[in-house]
Amino acid sequence: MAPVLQARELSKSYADTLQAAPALHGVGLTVLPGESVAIMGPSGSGKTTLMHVLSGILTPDAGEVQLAVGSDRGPVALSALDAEQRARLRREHIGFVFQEGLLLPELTALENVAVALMVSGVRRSTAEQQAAGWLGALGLSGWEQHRPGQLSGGQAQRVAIARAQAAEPAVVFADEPTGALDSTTSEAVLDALLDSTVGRGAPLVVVTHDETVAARCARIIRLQDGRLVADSADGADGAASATGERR
Amino acid sequence: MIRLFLARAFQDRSVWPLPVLACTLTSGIAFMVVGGSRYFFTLEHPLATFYAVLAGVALILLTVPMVSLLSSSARLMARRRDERLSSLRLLGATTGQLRLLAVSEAVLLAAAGVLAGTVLYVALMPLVGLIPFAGAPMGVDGLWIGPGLWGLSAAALMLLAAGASLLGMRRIEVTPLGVRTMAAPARVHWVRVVVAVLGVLAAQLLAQLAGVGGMAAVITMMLAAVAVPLVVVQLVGPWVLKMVTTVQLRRARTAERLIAARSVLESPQQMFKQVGGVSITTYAGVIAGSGLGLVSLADPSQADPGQAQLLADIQRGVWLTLAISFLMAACSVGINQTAQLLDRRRLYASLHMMGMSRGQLQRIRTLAVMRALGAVVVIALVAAAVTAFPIVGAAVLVAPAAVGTSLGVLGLGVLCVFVGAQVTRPALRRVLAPIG
Repeated sequence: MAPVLQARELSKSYADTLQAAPALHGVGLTVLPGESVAIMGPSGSGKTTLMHVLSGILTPDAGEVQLAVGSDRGPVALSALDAEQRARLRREHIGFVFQEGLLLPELTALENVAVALMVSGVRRSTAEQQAAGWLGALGLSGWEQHRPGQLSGGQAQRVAIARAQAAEPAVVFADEPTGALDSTTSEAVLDALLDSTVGRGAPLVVVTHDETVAARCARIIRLQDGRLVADSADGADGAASATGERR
Repeated sequence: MIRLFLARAFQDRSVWPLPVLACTLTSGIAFMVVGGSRYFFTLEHPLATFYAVLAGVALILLTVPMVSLLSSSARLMARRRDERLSSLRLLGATTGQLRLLAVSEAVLLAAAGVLAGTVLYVALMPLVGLIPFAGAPMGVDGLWIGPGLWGLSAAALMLLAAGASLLGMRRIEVTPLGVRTMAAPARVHWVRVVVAVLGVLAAQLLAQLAGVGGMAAVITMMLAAVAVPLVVVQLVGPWVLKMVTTVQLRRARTAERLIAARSVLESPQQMFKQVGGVSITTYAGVIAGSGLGLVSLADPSQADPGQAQLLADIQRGVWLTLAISFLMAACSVGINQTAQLLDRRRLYASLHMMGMSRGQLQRIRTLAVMRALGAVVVIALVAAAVTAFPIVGAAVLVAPAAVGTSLGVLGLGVLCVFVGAQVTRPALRRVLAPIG
C-alpha cells in the first residue's frame, strides 16, 4: 500500500531559542492510508514541531516530507513548495483539530465548518450543504445555528472535527484534541475523530500526552529530545528503531 | 502591592506599548484640537465672535470622534492586564484592591501617553501652524495652549482613562482561573429608530412652539439643527449598520466576506464606535460644503474682500474638521484592530495553520472596517440630503464642483481610514511569524 505521508531524516532547530539541542534530529516516518498514529513524548521532545513540519506549517532545516494528494495520489514534496503553495496544500489536503477547538466565536457551527470549504473557492450553498452533512454525521443535527459559546466543550470539539473533515483531506492532524475535555466526553470525541478519519480511509496523526488517547491509535511513536526513540509498528514499543529513517 | 504591580506594567511588552501609543496619538490630537480652538477663541479680528462660534461648532462636532478615540485607548488599557489580575486574584486580592490596581495602572499608562502626546503635539505645531485663518497663518504661538490649559487637558485625559478602566472592571469578572466578560454585548434594537424619530419630531415641535419667541426660536432652531442630527445619527447608526450588514451576510459569497460581516454583527455598536465618529462631521461637512458652494456662485467682483476671506476660512475649517475626524477614526481603527488581533492571536494562528493566507486574514479585517465605514458615510450623506434637501439639492445642480470637492475630501478621509486598517499588517505578520 502506498504511503500517504512520508518523512525522511527531518531536522529542525529554532534560531531564536537558547535551547542547545535541535527540536528534531533525523526523524523519519511513514504513514499509511487509514492508519492512526499517536505521537508521544515529554514536553519539549519535539512532538508539536514534528506535527508542524509534517503538515508544512514549518519547513525542516534538513530532510524531506512527501504527501500523496489528489486523485492520482502522486506524492508532493513539501520542501519544493513556497509558503503560499503550502498554505493552499493545507487548505485543500490537510485537516487540523486543535486542543481548544479554536472555532471562530462569531460564526455559527454551520458557518465554521462551511468556511473551511469556502476558503478553497467552494460555493457557499454547496459548502453549507456539505457542512450540514458533516455536522449531522457527528451527531450535531439541530445545532447548526448555534455559536461555539452556546455549545458544550465536546460539541465544540466535534464542530472542529467536522471543520477538519469538510474538505475530505488526505491526512488529519490533531494536537491534544481531548486535552480540554473530561474523560467521558474525551472518549466520545476520540470516537468521532477516529471514525470520521480512519473510517473514510485517511490517516490520523495525533499529538498527545495522554496514554489512553494513544492507546486508541493503531500505532504509537515516541520522541525524546527531538529523536524518534520508539515505534510500536516495529513490534517493540520502547526500543529505538534501527532503520535508516530513525535514530 | 500597588508599587509592585505598577513596576511590572512597563516590564511586560505585551501590556504597555499599544495602550501608550494609543494614548499618545489621542492626546496629541486632543492637544492640537484644544490649541486650535483656543486660537479662534482668542482671535483679535473684527469677526472674532463669529470665528469663535464656528470654532465652537467644530469643537462640538469633533467631540464624538474624540471621545470615541479616547474610549478606545482606555478600553485597550483595561484589556491588556487580564492575566496579571487573575494571578493576583489567585493570591487572594480583593475586588477593591484589583479595581485600585487597574485604575492606577490605567492612569500611569495614560500619563506616559499624555507626555509622549505632548511631544507629538509640539513637534506638529510648526506644520499645522502654517494653515492660514483670518488672513494669516495660525503660527506656533497661536496653537500653543499654555501650561494651564495643558494641565487641565492632561488631567481630563487621565480622568477619562481612570473612568473607562473602572467601567471596564465592572463588566468583567476576575477569577483565579482567568478573566471573563460578565454579560454578552448589548444587542442593537429597533427601538432606537423609534426613539430617534420621536426625537426629531419633538425638536421640530419645539422649534415651532418657540417660533413666537424671536431670538429664542433662532437659538432653539440652531441647537436643534446641530444636536438632533448628532444624537439621531449616533442612536440610529448602529441599528442601520446592523441591518446593512445582515443583508451583506446573506449575500456573502466568500469566506472573507462571511467572516467580516459576522464580526461586525457580533457588536454593531462596537464597530460603529470605531468609525461612527465621522458620521456627524460628514453630515455637517456636506451641508456646509454645499451651502458654501452656493454662496461662492455670487459675482466675485461685487463681493466684499473680508466676506470672501471669511468664506474661504469657513471652507478650510470644514475640510480641516472633516480631516481631523477621519484621522481620529483611522487611529481608532488602527488601535482597536491591533488590540483585537493580539487578543485573538491563537485563533488567527490556527486559521493560518489551516491554510488561510495572510492576505485572506488581512482582507477579513479590512472588509469589516471599510464596509462599516461605508455604511456610516452613506447614513450621514442620506441624513444630510434629507434634512438639508434644498441646499444640497441646489448645490448638486448649480455648484457641482463644490459638491465634488466635498466628496473628494470625504474620499481622502475614507482612504485615511483604509490606511488605519492596514496599520495592523505588521502585527498580523508578527502573530503569524512562528508559522511561516
